[in-house]
Amino acid sequence: MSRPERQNTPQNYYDDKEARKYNSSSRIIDIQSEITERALELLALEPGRRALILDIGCGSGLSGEAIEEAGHAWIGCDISKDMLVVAAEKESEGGDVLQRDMGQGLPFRAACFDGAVSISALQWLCYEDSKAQSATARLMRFFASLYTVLRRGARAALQFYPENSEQVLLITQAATRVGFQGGLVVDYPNSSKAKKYYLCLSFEHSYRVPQALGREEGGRALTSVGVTERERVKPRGRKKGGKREQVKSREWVLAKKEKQRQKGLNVREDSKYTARKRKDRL
Amino acid sequence: MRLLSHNVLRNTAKGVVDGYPLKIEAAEIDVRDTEPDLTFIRHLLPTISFSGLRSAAEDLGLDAAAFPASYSTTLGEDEAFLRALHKALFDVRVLEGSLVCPESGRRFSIRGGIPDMMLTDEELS
Ligand SMILES: C[S@@+](CC[C@H](N)C(=O)[O-])C[C@H]1O[C@@H](n2cnc3c(N)ncnc32)[C@H](O)[C@@H]1O
Repeated sequence: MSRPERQNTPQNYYDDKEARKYNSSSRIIDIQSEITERALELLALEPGRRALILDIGCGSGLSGEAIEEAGHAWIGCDISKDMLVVAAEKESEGGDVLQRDMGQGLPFRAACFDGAVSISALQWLCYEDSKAQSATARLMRFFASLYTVLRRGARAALQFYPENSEQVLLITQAATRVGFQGGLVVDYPNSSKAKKYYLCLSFEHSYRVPQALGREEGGRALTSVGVTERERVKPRGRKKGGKREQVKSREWVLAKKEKQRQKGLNVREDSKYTARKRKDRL
Repeated sequence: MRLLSHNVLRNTAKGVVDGYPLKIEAAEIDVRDTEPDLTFIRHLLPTISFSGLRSAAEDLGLDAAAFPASYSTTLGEDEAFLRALHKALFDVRVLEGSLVCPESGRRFSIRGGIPDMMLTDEELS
């Protein structure tokens, strides 16, 4: 199955016909609402309190409906007019939509939103539609604007479908370069169908991403990755024979941390746990 | 477009500093009552731009004087005010018209309740 992102621009792919088909598929409705519920959980909002959520790439409003069901108000933006028309037809009580390409940056005042989600949209930014606008420039513009429109203490949970590990790196690096703390949560890493990537972002220096779901014992430990500590380091290629490179030695990690400290980066203190293999938790 | 959205929207085109508040030229509006959640309105209060709210109210011929010029902590205790604020932010919607940038004069159309905030490549910095 070839990816739509490879074939077309999002506004052409999500035309009127596709928008209506998308919005009425019960399979898609179920999946999108499940992902949205998980994204909201990852935001760790104050319990029992209605919040104002930004929904980036809101499409026909399926994610918005789940946000509303969770008791929140939302403002959504999307590049596809046809998807938005379907969203607007729902006359939602708690939601509102506008047309904007997130790669142009988000058109909002500073510190307006209690949280942001993006469901199945972010990978589109990795594909270049115009020679004048590189993927990196668009991602940087997007994340820089996201950084400003969130209120203090707010977080973002962005679920996306990367085509390869380069895209994961492109996206996570852009997020950390604008100043976000955070990393990836990969739910159900061992299931080709249920596997989902969430980029979880926060302003807090001490932020640690939540635990991923569905990690089976013995599975690869890299399901919950701190961007600052792991993803920023370019992943080494696999050695011939398909084996992954050895886990980094304690000396290597200590030296690396010292270097980062000298650069003025915020690095965790060394302890007896530094560079120890983490237990695979269930 | 709800006035809550108007209250947070701005023009981010190259060369524009604040791009706020966008002037509303409404050809069609719709008002539909929804149930106010006063706790939520109180929570939103500190993020609301009162200059934006008053400018929107004036543009739509609503009672702009009902809203103060700026935020103060006592506003959260005034229930009548919170209800009026809910009504303005959530119940009033602009269906057709334009948003006009106060600095550059750039117009963004609103069709079927959806503001078109797309920029051209030339407008990106
Ligand atoms: C799979 S749909 C998801 C829609 C909605 N979030 C949901 O859960 O149903 C992906 C959406 O991303 C939007 N999209 C793609 N690229 C975009 C961009 N650069 N800016 C804004 N939206 C974009 C598409 O138009 C489409 O509506």
